[in-house]
Parts: sequence; structure tokens; C-alpha cells
Amino acid sequence: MNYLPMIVVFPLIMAIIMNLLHGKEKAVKYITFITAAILIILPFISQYGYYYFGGHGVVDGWVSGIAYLYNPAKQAVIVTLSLIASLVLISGMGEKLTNNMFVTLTLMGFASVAAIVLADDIFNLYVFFEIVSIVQAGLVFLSGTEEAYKAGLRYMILGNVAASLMLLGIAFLLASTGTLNITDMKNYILVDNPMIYGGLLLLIVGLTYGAGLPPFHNVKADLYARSKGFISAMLQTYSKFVLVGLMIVILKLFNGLDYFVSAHGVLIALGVLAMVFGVVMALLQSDYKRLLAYHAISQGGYVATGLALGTPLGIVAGIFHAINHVIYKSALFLGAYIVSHKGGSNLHKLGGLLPLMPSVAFMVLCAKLAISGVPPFNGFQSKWMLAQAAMQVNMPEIAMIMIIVSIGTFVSMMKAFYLIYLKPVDEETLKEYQNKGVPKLAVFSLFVLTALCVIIGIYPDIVTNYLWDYANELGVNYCLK
Amino acid sequence: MNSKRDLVVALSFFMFGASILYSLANMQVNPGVNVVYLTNYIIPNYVCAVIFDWRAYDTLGECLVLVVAVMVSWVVFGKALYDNTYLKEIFKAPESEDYITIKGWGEFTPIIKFLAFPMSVLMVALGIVTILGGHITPGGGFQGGALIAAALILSVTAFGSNSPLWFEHKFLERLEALGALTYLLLGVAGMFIGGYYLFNFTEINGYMVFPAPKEIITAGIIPYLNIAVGLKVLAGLSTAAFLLSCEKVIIEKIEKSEEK
Repeated sequence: MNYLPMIVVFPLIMAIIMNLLHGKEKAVKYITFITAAILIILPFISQYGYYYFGGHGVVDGWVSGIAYLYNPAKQAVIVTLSLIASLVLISGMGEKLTNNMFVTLTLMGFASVAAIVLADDIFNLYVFFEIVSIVQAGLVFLSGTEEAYKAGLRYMILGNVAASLMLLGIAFLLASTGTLNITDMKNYILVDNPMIYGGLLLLIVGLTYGAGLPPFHNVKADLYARSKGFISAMLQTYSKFVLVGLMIVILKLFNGLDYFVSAHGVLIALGVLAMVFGVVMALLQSDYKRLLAYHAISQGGYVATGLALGTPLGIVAGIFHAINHVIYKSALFLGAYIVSHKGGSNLHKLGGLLPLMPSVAFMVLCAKLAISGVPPFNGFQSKWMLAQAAMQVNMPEIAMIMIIVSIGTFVSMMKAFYLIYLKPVDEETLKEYQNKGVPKLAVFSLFVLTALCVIIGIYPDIVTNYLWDYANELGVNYCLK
Repeated sequence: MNSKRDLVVALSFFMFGASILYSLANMQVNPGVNVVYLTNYIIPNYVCAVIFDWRAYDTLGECLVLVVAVMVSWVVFGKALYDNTYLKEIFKAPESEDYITIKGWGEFTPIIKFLAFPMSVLMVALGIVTILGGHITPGGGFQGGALIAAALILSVTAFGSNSPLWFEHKFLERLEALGALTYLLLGVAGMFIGGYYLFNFTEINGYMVFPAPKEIITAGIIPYLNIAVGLKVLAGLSTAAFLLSCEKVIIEKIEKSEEK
């Protein structure tokens, strides 16, 4: 039997059971640990290929039901996703307050993002896209401050607009092709029909909202900044993989068509704008979590640019950077969570934490070097590939912007490292810090993520080998003249 | 500065709208996969066949949208990971003129009280019929569930918290979870019997899953899926209405979290 739907269905079942276990803290804790372990196993025991729900395969030449497509590239993405989800769930168990809603919403979001990545049916993708947008607002509400409520409400209102526009785009595509299956739709797209252009435009609106590209970058950054550290780690993982999933769909449908050449321009522009806006805003921040939030936007721009190039190398680089990014950015957010246990996240009030937790400081430094693209960490490998991909299509200016943005990232990250860990503080504050504990489960998760940063940085092939086949299938080689 | 910004926003909205209208004006509809849905007979109600058989997994997703929405509204009203200091301030604030509760709406005329209860009983009955007959007549789980929830909301609006149709919020929560779980587990059962998730099986070891007269093709698990969706929708919508109208429960919840 093929266990592929279990990747999505198992977390959904567990989420609903968790919802019923309100108030039973011990049961929640143990079941969460078991669920976290099973989440990592599931992607490995599923079989590759098409999976037709309800047994409705191809009838009269049309794919009639809902289909999933599973291949090594999607496996790499889902394994990363489930790894981060498990580690975040484990870190969240360190909290002393009631946390069953946190587990429920995280599992729901995990299932939906996995469904978006797997789906070969564009309406099914939209349904789960909507669940993710509600779940993200809910996870922010969990932080329970007034600002978190405001950020979540703003995100929900914009989400209504953007998601319904995306639904309209899907309706356009359905009307003009007569099917919802993505592989099938590709064969029936009429090149001279303006409705396809409209559908593409509206899909891009959904993409920018789901991924936090401009013009939605401020709302998304607010969302990351206002929630607790480990929740932000989950939120940014969701949006990176929603970006990857939707971008793969757009590339699969439109890559290689005549009019997509100009759409490439639009997508690359969105990515570059996100990169530059993110890093410029990050340099101005004095709050650690806000700084990290804007960096998440900026790195999302890298992913979008790489994927939008549309060449096989660009697609591999984009997905690889998405995987690397969620690893080191989750490590950084967990680091921020550990620091916030000691004394908030205002950079000007922190300082001198290095002697108190040298191991955490070292691991966070590794993640900071990874995000700035310093060898031998994983960020270097994927940024190198992205720059190569940009040079390959004869757009050296994009490679240059990437390097300049990397330098900006390095500057702001080192500033934050100095202000948190190295800046001298007076004796009283030090004593105050010593009295406060460190969440041990979060330190464990941080350790796993940092180890992954180094391993992938030294052996990038263990990830990229999975990605090449699918990228060759989707990508189109071209060169600007 | 501000007027320039307005101008840019107006221009971009105009361009966006114009491009969507342009593509709508060139609409060419392709019947496509709909022909497949119409030529392959499953049950008398074609809409229900598309929703619960051909694309049953989408319906599951839509149900889960509602489940998540209700969960998030619970989170908003204080079922949370962190203590809701912000909520405490709002709900502990003294009542003022613009603070709307059901009590503040005042009494209704007797005619509404006289009509509301029989009306809501009728609506519940109609909702049950709509859910159970969803596979042969127009209707289905969503519509029937919404009807029952509407009956509940009507009765709560007319009578306040003394409503004769009243469910405890814990009961509603369990009902919703039961509906969603039934749907998910029926899909898993299909996986074990037919090899595919949400496979529409009609019999297990020779026993009909849903007994039907011989001249009608049996509907398989579709009626059960209808019931599951109906339970979930009725519980979900009434929980949302309940949460918005009954701040007493929310204050109790906040007081409980204060004790900890």
C-alpha cells in the first residue's frame, strides 16, 4: 500500500485529536513527541509517482479526480519541512503553559504546506493555501499580546483579498482549459487566449501573498516579529515552502510558453525587490526579532529570484536555498527565543551573554555565518549556485545584487551578535541573567539544525542530487542576448 | 506626499482591474472534464457526486478550513499558549453604551418569541432531511448543517441565553471534532479496502455499506460523508455564533487562566 496521503492525513487526524485534549498537559506532551517522530518517518515510506484520490484515475483522456505527484525533489522539501516541524514541536513542549492549540495549529499548517507542495491539482492547492493563511494568523494570536492580535488581523484581512483573487485566477484557468489537474492543464493551455494571462497574473498575486514578496512583505515581517521565537521559525518555514510549491506550479504551467518571457521579468523583479527591501529594513531595526523577520523576507527574495530564472540550475538553486534557508533561519529564531528567555529582544538592552551560554552563542554564530553565505556553511553553497544561475542566463547584475545583499546581511547579523553576546554589561544585569534558565529542548533543536547547516555545507550533494531530475523536467534553458 | 501615494494606488488598481476585465472579455469556456462527470453515473444527485466522490478530498479541505477557523476563534477568545493580558483588559472593562451584548439589544416583541421556536424546530427538521437525502435530492451536508446552525442562531437571538435550543460549548466542540474525524477515518478505511484514500466502497465482505433498493445504484459511503460534513458544519457555525454572543464563557475562561 502507498502511504503517500498519510503525509497529509496523519497530522490532520492528530491535530483534531490534540484539539480535544485541552488541559491534559502530560498526554499532550507524550503524544506530541510520538507524532514528531512519525512525521519524519512518513516521507521515506511513500512511493514515487502519481497518486489518484478515490481511485479516479484517467477517464476518457482526462485526469478526473484529484492527484498528487511525488518525486525526489518533493521528498527533499517535505523531509526538511517535517524535520523543522518536529523540532519546533519539541521546542514548544518546553513551555509551561497550556499548549495543545499550538500543537494543533502547527500540525494543521504542516499538513497543508505538505499538501501544497505535493498537489498536482490546482484547486486542491488553493483549499490548503487558505488553511495555511488562517493557521498562520492563529499561531500569531497564540502569543497573546495586543500587537500580535493586530498583526494577525491585518494578515487575515489581506489574506481574504489575495486568496480570493487567486481563486478567481484558478477559475480563469479552469474555464479556459477545462481541467484542474496541473499536468493535464499544461497540454490544454491555449497560447493566444488572454484569459491565461489573467490567470497567471492572479496566481502571482496569490504567490506574493503566500510567500511575503512585495507588496505584502511588511505584513509578513510583522507576523514573524510579533510572535514567539519558535512560532516564527515555523511561520517562515511555511511561507518559504508555499513559495516553492506555488512557484513550481507556475513554472510547470507556463515555463517555455512565449509570453512567459515577460512574466519572468516580473517574477525576478519581485524577488530582487524583496531581497533589497528586506535587507535595507533589517539594517534599520533595533529589535532582534524584527531584524530576523526582515532577513526572512530578504532570503525569500533569493529563493524567488532563483526559481523565477526558470533554468534547471536556477530551479535547483532556488529549492536548495529554500531548504538551507529554513534550516538556518529556524536556528536563528530558536536562538532569539532562547535569548528572549534571558532578557527580551531589544538589542540595546541586551549584552554580555557570551560567558553565560557559550555553546548557544557558538551555534547561533554558525547560523549567522550560514545566512551571510560564508563557507563552509550551507548558505554559501546555495548562494554560489544562485549567482552561477544568474550568470548563466546572462544577468550578471542580479548576481551582483545578491552579493551586495549578502554583505548587508553579514553586517546586520554581526551587529546583532555583538550587541547580544559581546557588548559589556554591568554586574547587576549579569546576575539577573544568571537567575533565568535556558529552555533545554530549544537548545537541542538548535543543535540539530546547526549540525545540519555544517553537514549540508560540506556535502551539498546529499540535497541537490534529489533535485536535478525534476528541475531538468521543469526548466527551460535560455540566455538573454 | 499623501496625494501622490493615493494617485499611485488608484492607477495600479485601475490597471489591475482593466487587465482582469480584458481577460474576462476574451473568455472561451472549455467543457473539459465536466463531460466526464456527466457521462459517468454514480448517484442521482450529480452535484453531490462531484463533491463527495470525484473531488471528495477537496470537500475534506473545505471542512478543515471551517475547523481551523473555529479553532482560531477559540484562540482569539483566550484558549491560548500565553496568558491573554490584552483580552483581560477588554473583557473586564465596564459596560458602556457602545458595548453590544445580547442583553443590550433589549426585549423582542412577543410575536418574535412566538414564531422563533416553532420556526427553528422546522428548520432543524428540514436540515436533517437535507443532510440525509443529500445523495438523491438537492442539498447535502454543508447546506443541511448550515440550516441547523441557522435554527440555533435564530433561537439564541430571540431568547438570549434562555434559549430552548441550547448546546453546551464543550458538546459542540466534541461534535465538530467527531464530524471531521469521521470524514478523515472514512478516507483511511477506503485506503485499506480499495487501495486509495477516500475510495468509495459499497460493500465490506458482502455487507452493503449503505442499504438501498435493488433498482437504485447504492451510494456507498457518500451518505456517511454527508452526515460527517453536516455535523461539522452545524457545530462549527454554531460555535462561532456562540463565541461571538456569549462573553460570559470567555470571562470564565480568562478567570481560570488567571488562577493558574
